[in-house]
Amino acid sequence: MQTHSPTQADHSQLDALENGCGLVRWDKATLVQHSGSDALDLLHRLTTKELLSVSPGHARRTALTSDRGRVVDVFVVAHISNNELLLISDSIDSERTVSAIDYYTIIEDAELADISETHTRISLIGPDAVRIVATVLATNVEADSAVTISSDDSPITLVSDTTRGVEWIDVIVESGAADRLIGLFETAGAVATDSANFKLFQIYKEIPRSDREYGEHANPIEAGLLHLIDWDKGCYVGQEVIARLDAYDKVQRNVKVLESATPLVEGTKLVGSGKPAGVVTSASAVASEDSVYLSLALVRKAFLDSGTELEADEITATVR
Amino acid sequence: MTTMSPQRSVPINTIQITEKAASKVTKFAADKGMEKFGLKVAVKGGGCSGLTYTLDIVEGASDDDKIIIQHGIEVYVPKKAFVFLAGTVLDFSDGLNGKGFEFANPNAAKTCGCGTSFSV
Repeated sequence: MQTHSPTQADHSQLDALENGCGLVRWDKATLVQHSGSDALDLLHRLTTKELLSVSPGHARRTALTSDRGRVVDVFVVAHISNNELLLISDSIDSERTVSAIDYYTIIEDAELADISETHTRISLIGPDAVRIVATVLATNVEADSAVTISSDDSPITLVSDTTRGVEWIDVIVESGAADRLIGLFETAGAVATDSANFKLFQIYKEIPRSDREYGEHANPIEAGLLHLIDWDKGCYVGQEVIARLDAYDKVQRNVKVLESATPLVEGTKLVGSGKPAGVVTSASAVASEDSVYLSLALVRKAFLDSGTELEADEITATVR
Repeated sequence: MTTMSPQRSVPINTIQITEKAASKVTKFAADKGMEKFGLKVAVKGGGCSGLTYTLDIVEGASDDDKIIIQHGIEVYVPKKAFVFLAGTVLDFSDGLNGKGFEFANPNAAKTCGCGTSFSV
């Protein structure tokens, strides 16, 4: 086993995310405009959430699954105006999402435009996010709302998402206008958060991450996305498989937080009582305040109890 | 999921509607009081397996529809949907165990339990 000097988390950044307003500038995210009279109905037919009731000015997060019931992507559907949607996802592979939706677009009046390269996503996270936006942009962002405003001739789209258990507002802006806007948010009290501390926050809050906890290797139930499934909405791609998994209790794994004295490595297989127990999916390289390293893992059913000790390549990790 | 194979050989450049299905379409059109009508057969995204059949009795074809005439009725298939439907037989089964209109689609690798959606 290697010795390790703990790299501590930045308390001010974590405190902002938890109690104030943390600001995350995404290096890459999926941003797709979806327009046309059939766009919303198409996404309703394809994804796990009921979307027909999402009226202009509102937003709802949903999961696109394959016909095998695996997660292709998870995105917020922001209904900007009549027949104009904006899809926002954490995925760095926008082409995958666009291709998947485009594949199912046959006779529908629906067009996709990938704006991931020309626009920047800024997330304001924490209980003070609404106040920060109101201060800077004079706009009150209500829960699960979507609004586009004009600021210095540059449109800014504000989208609230309440599905992650924390206050979360996405700000989508043309990339050329991002630096100035970030400066204004910081002046108003938002704290810039780096990727290491943001990752630790997500793990601590048990927020599933794109292509880590969820992706084409996992179904939405085991990946911690149960809240994104509407069981009575009718058919969507993969619905039959997902309903069967739930009805017959066939889900074999769940997302759990692991604690360890040294950092784990993503992709490491877990062993419990000599048996396969799961896999590490997200591992923080910085320690939390009490010098414990946190990770997320897809853990098999037999090992889900809090306090269960698992081995991850000679490192002992405890299920939180 | 179940696999599905066509019940009979149909030329790949068309789709076929059985006489029974055609008579049902004619009856439904008459019930709606339509004198001039056709059956629009299409595919749209959605459903458990990803692609869903749609059937509509309409007054006429759209510009981009392929028109097939069988058993006295016109069948309209949007060209974008035809690639998923080529070689399909549309039948109708009634009675207690009947499922209504049924598609036997040679392009379908899988169908969902209720048979309304498929994947290729």
